[in-house]
Amino acid sequence: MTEATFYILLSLIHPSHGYGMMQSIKELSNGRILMGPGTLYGVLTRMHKEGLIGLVETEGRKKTYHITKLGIEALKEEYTRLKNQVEDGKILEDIT
Amino acid sequence: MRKKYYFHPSSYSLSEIEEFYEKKASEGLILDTRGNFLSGFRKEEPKNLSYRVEVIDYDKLKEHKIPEEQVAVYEDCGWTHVCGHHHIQIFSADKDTDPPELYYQPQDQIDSIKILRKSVSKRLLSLLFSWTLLGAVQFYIFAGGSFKAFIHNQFFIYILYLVEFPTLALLFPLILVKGLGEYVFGIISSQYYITRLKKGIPLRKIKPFAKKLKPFKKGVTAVILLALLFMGIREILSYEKVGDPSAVDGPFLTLADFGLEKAPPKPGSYLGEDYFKKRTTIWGEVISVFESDNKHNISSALFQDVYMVKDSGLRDKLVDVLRREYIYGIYNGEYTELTIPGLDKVYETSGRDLIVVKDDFVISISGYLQERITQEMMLEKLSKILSEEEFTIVSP
Repeated sequence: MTEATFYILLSLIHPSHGYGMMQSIKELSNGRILMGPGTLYGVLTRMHKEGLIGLVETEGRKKTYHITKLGIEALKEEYTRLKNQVEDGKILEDIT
Repeated sequence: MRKKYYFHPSSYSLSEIEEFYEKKASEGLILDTRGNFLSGFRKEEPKNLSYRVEVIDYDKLKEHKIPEEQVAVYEDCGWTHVCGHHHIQIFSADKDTDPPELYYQPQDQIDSIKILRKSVSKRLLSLLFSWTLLGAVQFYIFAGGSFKAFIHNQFFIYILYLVEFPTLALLFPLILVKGLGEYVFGIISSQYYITRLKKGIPLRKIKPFAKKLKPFKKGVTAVILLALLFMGIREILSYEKVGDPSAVDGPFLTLADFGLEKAPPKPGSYLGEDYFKKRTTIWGEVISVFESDNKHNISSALFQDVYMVKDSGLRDKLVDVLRREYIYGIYNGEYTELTIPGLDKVYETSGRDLIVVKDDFVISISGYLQERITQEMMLEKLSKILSEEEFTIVSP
């Protein structure tokens, strides 16, 4: 899972739309991750096709998404993988 | 409101497109429409605008339009969709609002550039396929046998075309090369962007491939176009047409040379009306002559093509081409070489078709004269005409 996918899924735990997602990603990552609309739209389209996110409502051209069960499973799986990676990497803390 | 139109940078030169529109906006020309080659601008106060190019998968999209949802996401972030043409879509934003970049990670943009590369590759393949198909059809109807003979035949047709209509003949391969070159350039340029984006260089900071070649491309194109224009104008201005070839003093035979009388031209005659046509080309001159006695049962009619070609290599090649019947590779018959005093070379076939070479002239004669006038008499007369020290065409 790419970093962009991870953070978009994370931001969609609460239903949101394009600009809202970009703001919450910025907040979630403490400003470390800036996501442009080009990246966001590309990832959203792909995740929607894969069933990781679903449409909550459509207001004019604006669409609000939320994470699906499949998306939560994928997110948890990725979280566990990253956590294990961090655990495994702790060995580095002893290296001076 | 009156619009202004300007040629825009190539669709494969993405960052240059953005710079181009920004510069225009700062001059008070705000982008309105984008076509194949031209962009339309409306005149307003100069503005400090940012432009971004987005590539869409035009061929796959419903109604071949940018999805409304994409526009909504971009507009949410401050980018307004201005216009677009096929794969290239243009967004703009006021620089003072500090809009977010469409892509913060250069690698994220690779997928959209891949769309461009895929699309141009498909176009190149379909162009090559259509050319192959066209060639295959021509080969199918070609009666000259092998593929090698077919290629020779195409070459002969081109040589004849090159001598008769040099401007068009030179323009033709240039158009083919330009069409093909544009697609090849598109693939190379897209690949260049992808390689740079992979290295983490933002699109905007990539000096477009096209921009590097632009001065060279512009210079070469201007020189070629000017040369072709000059050649074309010269050919058109030199065009001359006379209704009665016997009234013209030229390097060809006329019925008057043999004292043959003509009836007044009859409109609707199955052979058409008499003519003398002359054009000056870069090689020399091209003259077409047709003359008949216009009688009820036509007993004398001559078709002659005179090529004055100063370049000996091209002249020899032309003679070689004329000695072969080139249409669809159907050979008319073998030519026999004759020796006629005063003429450099003479070839004869079917008892009435002749190819005569004298100095810069190559003359192709087809037709028939009254029985009492033999081929030898015709050649002797032509030899005499062509042996005059200085030849000038005097129109009546």
